[in-house]
Amino acid sequence: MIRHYFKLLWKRKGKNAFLFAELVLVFWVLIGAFSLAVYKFNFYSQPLGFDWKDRYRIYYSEQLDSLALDRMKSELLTFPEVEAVSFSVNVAPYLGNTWANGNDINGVNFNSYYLQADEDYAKVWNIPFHRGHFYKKEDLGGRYIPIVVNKLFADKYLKDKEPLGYRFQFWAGKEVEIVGVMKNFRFQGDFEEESPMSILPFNKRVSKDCISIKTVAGTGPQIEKKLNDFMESTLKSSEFGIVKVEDQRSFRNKITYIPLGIVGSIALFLMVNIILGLFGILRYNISKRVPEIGLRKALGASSRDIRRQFTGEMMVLTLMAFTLSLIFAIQVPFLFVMPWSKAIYFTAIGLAAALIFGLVYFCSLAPSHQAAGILPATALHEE
Amino acid sequence: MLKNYFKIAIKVLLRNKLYTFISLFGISFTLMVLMLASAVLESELGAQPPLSKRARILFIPSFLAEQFARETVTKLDTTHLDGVMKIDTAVSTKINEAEITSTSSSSLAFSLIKRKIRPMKTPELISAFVDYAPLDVFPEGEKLSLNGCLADANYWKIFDFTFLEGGPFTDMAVENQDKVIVIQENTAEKYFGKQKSYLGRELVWGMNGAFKVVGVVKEVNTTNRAVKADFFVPVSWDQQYRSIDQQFGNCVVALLARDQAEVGQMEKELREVEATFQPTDDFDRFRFLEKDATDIYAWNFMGSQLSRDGQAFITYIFVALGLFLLIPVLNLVNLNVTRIFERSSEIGVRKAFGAKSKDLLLQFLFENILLTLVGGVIGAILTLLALNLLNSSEVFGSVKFSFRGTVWVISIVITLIFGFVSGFLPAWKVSRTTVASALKSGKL
Repeated sequence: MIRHYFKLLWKRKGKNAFLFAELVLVFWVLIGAFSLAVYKFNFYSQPLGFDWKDRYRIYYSEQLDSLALDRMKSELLTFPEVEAVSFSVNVAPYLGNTWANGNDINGVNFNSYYLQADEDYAKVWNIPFHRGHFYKKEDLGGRYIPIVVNKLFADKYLKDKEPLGYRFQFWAGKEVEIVGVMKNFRFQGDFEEESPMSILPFNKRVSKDCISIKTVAGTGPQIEKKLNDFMESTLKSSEFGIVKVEDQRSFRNKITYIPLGIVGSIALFLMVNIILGLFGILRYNISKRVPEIGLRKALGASSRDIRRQFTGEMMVLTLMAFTLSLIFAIQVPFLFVMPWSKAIYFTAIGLAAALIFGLVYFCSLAPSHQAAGILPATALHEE
Repeated sequence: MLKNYFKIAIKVLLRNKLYTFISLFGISFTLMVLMLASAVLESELGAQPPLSKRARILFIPSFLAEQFARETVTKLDTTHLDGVMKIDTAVSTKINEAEITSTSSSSLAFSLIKRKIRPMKTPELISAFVDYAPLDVFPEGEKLSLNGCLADANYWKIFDFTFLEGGPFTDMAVENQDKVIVIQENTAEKYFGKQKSYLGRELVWGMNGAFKVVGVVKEVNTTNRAVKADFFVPVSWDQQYRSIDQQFGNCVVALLARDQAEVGQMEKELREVEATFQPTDDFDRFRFLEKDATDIYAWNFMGSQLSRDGQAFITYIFVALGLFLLIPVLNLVNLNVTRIFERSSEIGVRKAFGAKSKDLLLQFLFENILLTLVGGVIGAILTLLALNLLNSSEVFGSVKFSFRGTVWVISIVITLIFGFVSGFLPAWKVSRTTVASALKSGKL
């Protein structure tokens, strides 16, 4: 059957070649587009591990002593809109900065992003915990520096060990003890992969130049003016910036949406052209092959057979194009390093195939129906 | 005659609604893509205020200083003097121009512009301005992030902003460091609230105090940073304005040539100016990295600070647009060939009664152009919707693309070309068929 269709297609190869080339091209573009989309939205669907709504971040360049910081915090907390305040180093959700550290002093080879913050950090960002809790003020004076890590850190580096209470050297000579395991903490952004992450209290040298603020739900944008005035009078300069975390988040996400939009638009354009090409060929087939249809019908073919032949021919053409594009596409994971896994790549190939086969099938239904409607009497009369 | 063609065309198109719909869908989608591209390109690369003179303007956004490798050469000379060997050593440093050990690039400093650029002879006008001065203001408690431009008096002569009221500030205002400000219409509305006139109102520019509005300019539709500012203040307010003996600063220069042909001479004079630089302790060679408005736009997508890629960028765009046009045209030709050949009988009869090939060609072309025009109207509506979406999503920052003036003309031309190209081949083919074969295959 398929061989027969192939023969018919080959007979009119001149007419079919252009559509064939378009199909091959659209398969490649769609495989790329779906890989990117599946890869990114896979992350998007995972929990973030913190809340971004109603949060603000203030960055300033001045070095302040702990007394001034304490005063600033208590003054900020007197605002009725402000629910929680925390100081940290300049690594924050959606900011784009990362700090990383790793060693194998403990026989455990770890490599983790980290940030340093005071004990209110989890309160501001509402970080859900898998086990344990965020370090409290009482934890700070002890022999070991308290640390919280995300679940990925524990799963990756402390496989058979009990993470809670586990002690290791984060920096050489600095012994830390895990007091809590966060569920997630994907501070890089909604579309980014989670990586091992740790949060530690401040040590003496780092500058505490980032304030994270949680405001009461439904606080209007007027809070920014209030914060601005407060910071201006406290720092006596305008060397600071106030950022709504929500704005920073949409900016970050745009960086993902734009390339997706571009690849998607190209795929859409090619798909529209496939529809055009398909209808062109089917219409040509129908008008040029009326006698053939009439003869087949006269010899006892049912309307269903005719319909199946026209749809089938197009499906075979698509299958051939898919095979050719697959010959090249299958080599990509072996020749190049892809940012996504093979599973995602093959899912994308499957999705692209489903979309194009579906499109071709759907679009060839109406013309095939038309062909099937040809009466043998009129068809044969023509000849 | 045309009326007849029109009647026939409508009848034929309505006869096979499915294919007409598919053709229209393809035509309008393709035309939407092309119209969208021309709307974006027209706002970014078209000569319209404030960049009407763009072909005559050369920007110097940055300046490059390079240091060459030093090689120490030790020369030993041995001579025999009275039977005793004597060694003469001479140590010299050789500069190896082929190897650059360090480079530094940045915007220019005012003092450098005063010394080196202002005395230039070929440009008609020279402007020095600072295009980055961010400011957060809080009218009615809500944050408004603005970007200012610190401009001189020539700036207003090179860039022909449309003033809705008032006018630019003068050389005097710049020299006296007056607290005057020219503001963009939308910024004025956001900051002061909607008013009949904004002249004489005051905007507080951070710690510098209150600035009086002397002019309101129309919104610009380009991403070119040189002209895309929310407010403009005299350049003398820049902290480095009066500093001396600096090379690197934060200043951009715009040079205006007397006419387009003289741009090349300005480039040549810039090379001559570079040659007058004395090597300093840190750097041996200095280069101005001038770019024209198109190069600056291309820099967003390709190339580097050092290269000028405007021409290459435009070539790529047209190749890409050509491909965008070619694929649907070929598909539509395929569709049209069948549509026209289905009417063989009509053609045969008309030919038998004396119609010329030319008449038939004209008729089929007319039909196709009519169809394309309908597609063009739908495409224009789609374009308006897409532009709305593009503008509100702020994918390209706060720049607003609009669909007006020249873009309309370009769109109509594109539509007609598209209709002609996709209709000509099938119409030509069919108009050449012989009477006998047309009559034979057709069903009457």
